[in-house]
Amino acid sequence: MSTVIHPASFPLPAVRNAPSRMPLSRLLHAYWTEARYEVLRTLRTPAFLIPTVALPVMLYVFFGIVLHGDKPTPPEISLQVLSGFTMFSVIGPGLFGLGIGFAMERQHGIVTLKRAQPMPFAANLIGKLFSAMTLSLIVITLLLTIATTFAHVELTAAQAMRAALVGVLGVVPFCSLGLLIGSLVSGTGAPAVVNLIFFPMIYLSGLFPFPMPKTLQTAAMIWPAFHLNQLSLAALGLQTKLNPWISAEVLIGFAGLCIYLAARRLTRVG
Amino acid sequence: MYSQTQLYPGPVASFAGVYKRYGNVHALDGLDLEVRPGELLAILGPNGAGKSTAISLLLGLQEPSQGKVAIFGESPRVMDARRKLGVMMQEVALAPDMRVRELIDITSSYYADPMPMHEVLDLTQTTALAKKQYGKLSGGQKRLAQFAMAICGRPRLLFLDEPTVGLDVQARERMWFTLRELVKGGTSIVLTTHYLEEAEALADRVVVLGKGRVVASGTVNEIRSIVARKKISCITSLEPHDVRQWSGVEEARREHQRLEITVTHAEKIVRRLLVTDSDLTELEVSRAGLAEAFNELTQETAQ
Repeated sequence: MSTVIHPASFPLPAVRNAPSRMPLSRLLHAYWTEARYEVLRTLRTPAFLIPTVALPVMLYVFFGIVLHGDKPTPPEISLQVLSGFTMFSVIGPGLFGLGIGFAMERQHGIVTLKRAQPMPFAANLIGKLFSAMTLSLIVITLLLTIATTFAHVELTAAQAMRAALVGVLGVVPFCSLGLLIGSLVSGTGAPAVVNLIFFPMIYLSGLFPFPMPKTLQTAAMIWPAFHLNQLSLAALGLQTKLNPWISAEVLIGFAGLCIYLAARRLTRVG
Repeated sequence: MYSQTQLYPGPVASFAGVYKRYGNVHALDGLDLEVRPGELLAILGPNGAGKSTAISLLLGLQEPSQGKVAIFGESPRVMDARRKLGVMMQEVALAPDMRVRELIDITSSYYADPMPMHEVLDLTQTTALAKKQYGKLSGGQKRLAQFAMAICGRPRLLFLDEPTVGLDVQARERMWFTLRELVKGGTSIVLTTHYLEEAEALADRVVVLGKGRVVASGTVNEIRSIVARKKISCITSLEPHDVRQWSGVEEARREHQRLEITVTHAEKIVRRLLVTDSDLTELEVSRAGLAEAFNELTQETAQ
């Protein structure tokens, strides 16, 4: 054999009496490591960045600025448009990131491997949630900056902060929906299912002032995106169709239901 | 170094009367098996013998229908027990965009006292791969990266599912070397393999599963001696179909110039061969390889 192995060059990996309990600092480090690499992976994947970052920014520039030309827009309308696009940008990362990402990892055996490894509880999912939140924060910041600099939208710092907060927290219900999709369908099928939900939801939940028949306007309430937009409108100080607290409760309930169904499915089939 | 008795008072892993049923299928049918401290145990068995079910119970991926599975005296679902476990699975496709170093870094973060990165890379000979994307590695390099992930947490029990599939001879020899070093350091290793020479080269003990229970357990030599078959090989003018008629001959066939005979008691047949053909040359008698032993054992259970 041509390779000579020099035993002396190897550190002898003696088993240590490692602490069987994980110190809290190590546990937090594990969650942080998962989260950090999830963000890194997201930023490295153009196929993910284009629909989640470039698309909302581009559409906002087109519909929010270019299309309006120099016509003065009533401030309420510009804020409504801004709110719609911000929420549009919040839904993508959660739904695509978890829906497709988790389905893929399940299909590729990564989820099973991590269950066999001593991965702390749900560290992979929390990492994905963190990554989606980070991405949403980036897009919201971009949109708010574009809005105030180029679209002449006037925003107070408090309004901007509230809108960003709603956006970042608003990732949770859509990550939960993504998780449910990811636990139900295969990695190959997930993109189709996610798109099938994403695009109709954007239209039917009335995020944008597109013309819609009356019945559909009422039916908009069944979509979580509608309720998130209600919260965003409230954060920007605009009038809402529903009491924002009701919308918040609907979203929390929706997220809880998705997580419960996903957990049930995952315990049954893995 | 710690002595092994200090580290492990009992078996590192155990199956006690374990049954696992899927509907009418009995994947495990009363499995009793212990993994002893510091041993390298090879689990062999044909498809459907219950190997993968046993493994997934051991890793806490499934619960037994009946009986008890334990690692370090606890349920494999207990996180503190699993932190002493290193895993290398077969059916896994890791994220192609991640670098090897990053994959190891994530896995290391799950353990309380992982090895430093350079040590992991050194030990698994993956230093040159550290900055490469996983998706761009060859099949063998991927196995090495997974091996690095399996050992990075200084596991006391290392579980390897077909670890050397796709490795070239050199890489396989190196992995075997590292495994022996780990065992010397006190790590217990359970591996499944289709390469019988791998079990022969590494295992302190071999367990053969058939129909969901242990069919045979012992050293490679013990397993072979359970099956008493011998192989006689020689150059002779005798015809296989004639020899096959002799009592005590199970099989005879010509391979190139040589006549290969499988027998239960070699001495009688050798005597008869020498008497019948005085021109017989290059006589060799050997024990049947593990492959033959293994086939016979699992066939017996199937009958």
